[in-house]
Amino acid sequence: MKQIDPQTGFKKASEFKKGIMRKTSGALIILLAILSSCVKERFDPAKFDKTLNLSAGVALPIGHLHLVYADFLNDTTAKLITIADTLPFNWIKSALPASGKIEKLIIRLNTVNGFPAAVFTQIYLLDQNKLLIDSLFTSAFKLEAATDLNGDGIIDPVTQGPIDIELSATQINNLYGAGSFVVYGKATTTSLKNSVLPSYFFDFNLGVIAQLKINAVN
Amino acid sequence: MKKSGNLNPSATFRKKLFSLIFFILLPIPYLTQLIKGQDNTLYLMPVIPQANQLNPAIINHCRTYVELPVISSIKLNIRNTAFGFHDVVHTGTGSNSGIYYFDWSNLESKLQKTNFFLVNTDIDLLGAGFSFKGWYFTFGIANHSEMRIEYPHDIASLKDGNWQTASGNPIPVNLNGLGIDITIWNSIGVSAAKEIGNGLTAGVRVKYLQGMANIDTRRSNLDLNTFSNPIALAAQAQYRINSSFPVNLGYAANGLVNRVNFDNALNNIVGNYIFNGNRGLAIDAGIVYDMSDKTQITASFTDLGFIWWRKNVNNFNGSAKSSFSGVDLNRLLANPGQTNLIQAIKDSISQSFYAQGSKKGYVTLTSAKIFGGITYALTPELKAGAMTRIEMYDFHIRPSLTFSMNYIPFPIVAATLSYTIMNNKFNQVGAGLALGNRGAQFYILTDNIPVRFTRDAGTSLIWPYNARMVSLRVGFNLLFNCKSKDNGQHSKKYKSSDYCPAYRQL
Repeated sequence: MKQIDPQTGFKKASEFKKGIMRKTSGALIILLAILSSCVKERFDPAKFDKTLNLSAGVALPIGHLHLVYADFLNDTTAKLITIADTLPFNWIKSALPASGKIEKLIIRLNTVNGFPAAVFTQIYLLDQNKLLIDSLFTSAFKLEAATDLNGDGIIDPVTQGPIDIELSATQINNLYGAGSFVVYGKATTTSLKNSVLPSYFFDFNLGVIAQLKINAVN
Repeated sequence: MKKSGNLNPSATFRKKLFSLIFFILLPIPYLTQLIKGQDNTLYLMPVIPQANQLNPAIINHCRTYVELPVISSIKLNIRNTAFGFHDVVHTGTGSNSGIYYFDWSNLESKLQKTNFFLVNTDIDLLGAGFSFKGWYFTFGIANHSEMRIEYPHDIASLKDGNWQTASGNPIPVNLNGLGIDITIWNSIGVSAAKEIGNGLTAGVRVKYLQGMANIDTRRSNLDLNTFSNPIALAAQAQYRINSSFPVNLGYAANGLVNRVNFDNALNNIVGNYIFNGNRGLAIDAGIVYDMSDKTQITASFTDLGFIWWRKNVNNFNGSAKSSFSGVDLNRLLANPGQTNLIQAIKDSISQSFYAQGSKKGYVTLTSAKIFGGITYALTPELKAGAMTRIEMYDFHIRPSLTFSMNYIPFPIVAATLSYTIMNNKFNQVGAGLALGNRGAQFYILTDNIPVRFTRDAGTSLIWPYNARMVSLRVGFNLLFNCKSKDNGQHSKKYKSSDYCPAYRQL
C-alpha cells in the first residue's frame, strides 16, 4: 500500500525511492534483455571454407656443388671429359605441401663455369634406389666456356643464370619421388698445357621456387 | 499547501526515468564495432570512488567510502588492437551464405606496424577513503596483472611465403618486436588531496609495488631474407628475455637452454610470489580545477613507476646470424643421414647461435598514463565532457579521445555515455551506470559495449562479433556521509562547514 505524506499529499520519500529503484531495475532488465538478444550469428567451425583460395610463394635453396677438375693439366691434346656429381634431394616432402597443392614449381639454376671449354649439362633425377626417373632439360644445356677477358693470361669464369626450369605436373611428381640430383656435364678440351691454373671448377647452385595453394583447414 | 503541478515529483520522475532509459538505449543501434579504450568512462564518473585511482584529486561526494575485498572493484580488459572476429571471418553470400571465409587480405590491411593483444585485470583487495580536516585520503591494496603480446605487421605476410611469384622477387620477412610481456603485481597505495587554491584541488598517490612474477621481452629481432640469384636464405635473430619466475633450466653442451622445468612453480608461493624482494614504486598525481560553476578541468598521470625484479631472475640473451644455401656436401659427409632441409636449416642457424644466461636483477617500467579532461554542466543533471587518455609503454604511445554525457537524474542513479576516438576508429561507445548513494553503491562500467555476438555452435561460447575489446569494471562500494547536491564533483562543495543534511535533495 502506498504511503502518502499527509503534509504534501505526495508519496513519501521512502516510497518514492522504492519506485525509482523498481523502475530503474526494470529499465536495466530491458537493457540486459536487448543485449542478450544481440547474438548476431552462430559460428560453426565445420562450415569454415575448406578450399581457402590462398597462394604463397616459397623459395628454398637445394644445394651447391663445386666441382674441381685437375686431371688434365698435362694434357696436350683435345680430350672429351665428363664431370658428374650427386646432390641429395629427398627433403621436398618435408618442406613443401603435397604435390597436388603445387600450382607451379621452378628449379632455378645458377652456374659459374671456370672451365675453358663449353660444357653441355644435364641434371638428372634419381629415385631412392638411384634409378634414373627424370631429367630437367629436354636437351643438354650449354654452359659457355670461360675465356681470358682482360688479357692477363688467366681465364675468367663465366656466370650464367638464373636459369629457370618450370616443371610439368609429371616432373613435379617425379621430383617428389626423387632421392638425388645428378649434375652431369661433358666438355671437349683443347690443350691446357700452358694454363697457369692448377685446376678448373664448375659451380652449380640449385634452388626451388614453388607457388603453393594453401588450404588453411586441412 | 500543495505544490504546483510542475513540481509534481511523479511527473518529474517519469520524465527523468524516460530520459534515463533513452540515454542508455540511445547508443545501441550504433554499437556495431567497438575497439579499445580503458578507464575513460570511469574518469568522467566521479561519483564512483574508483575514479580517484585515475586522478587522485577527484574527491568523491561521499566523505567516506569503504572497498570490500574483491567485490568492490573487478576489472577485466581484453583487447586486440588490430582486428576483431568479423574483420577476418566473413560469411559468403547467396548459396554460400552458410560458409565462413577467412579474409587474409583484410587481416593484412587491418594490421598496423605494431599490434598488441592485451589482457589486464585489476582487483581491489581492500580500500577506503575519507575526508579529514580539509584533506581527502584514500588507501588501497590491489592486485594487477597484465599480459601484452606484441606482433608486427609482417606476421600476416607470412601467408605469402618468402617469394613473390608474379614479380619474381623475394619477400623479406621481418618479425622484429615479436614478443610477450607478462607482469603480475600487487600495489599498496596511499593518496591525499586538498583544495590548495580557489577552485583548485591537487592530489597525489604513492604506491608501493610488489612484483609477483614477470616475463619481459626486452629485445626481439628476427629477420629472414631470401636471395634470388642464386637462391639462398639468411637469418638473423637477436633477443633478450628477462623473467622473474621460479623455473629450473637445463642447458645443452653448447650453452643453449634446452629445457624449462616448471615443476617448482607452485612451491613456496609466499616466498616466491609475495615476500620475494621484487619491489617498486609508482606515483599518481592530478589536479581538478573549477573554472566556473559549470566548467571543470582535470588532469592527471598515473602509474609512473617501476618494479625492480630480483627474485628467481633469469636473463636470456641470444644472437644468431646465419646464411644457408642448401644441403652442402661437407655437412652431408659429416652427417650422411641428414637430408632433411628444415633440419639442415635449423642446424645451420643453431651452429652460429650463441646464448648467454645470467641471473641479474632488472627493472621494468609500469605503463604510465596521462589523463586530461573537461566537463561542462549543461543542466544541473546533465554534463558534457571530453577527456584524453595517453598510455605509454616501451616507447609506444596509445592515445585516445573520449566525449561523454553524464546524467544524474536522481541522487542514486548516475549514467554516463561515452564515445571514444582511437586508432582512426570513430564508432566506439561505452557506458557506465552507478546505482545507490548513501550506504551502498553498485556500479558497472565499460568503455566498449559489444552488442553483436557470435556463438560457437559446438561449444556455445559467445564472443564479440567484431569488437576488438571487451572491458568490464564492476563493483560494490560502501558509501557514508554522502552529499548528493554536487554529485561528487569537488571537495570544496562539502566542506564540513557547508555540510548540512537538511539541504539534501531527494
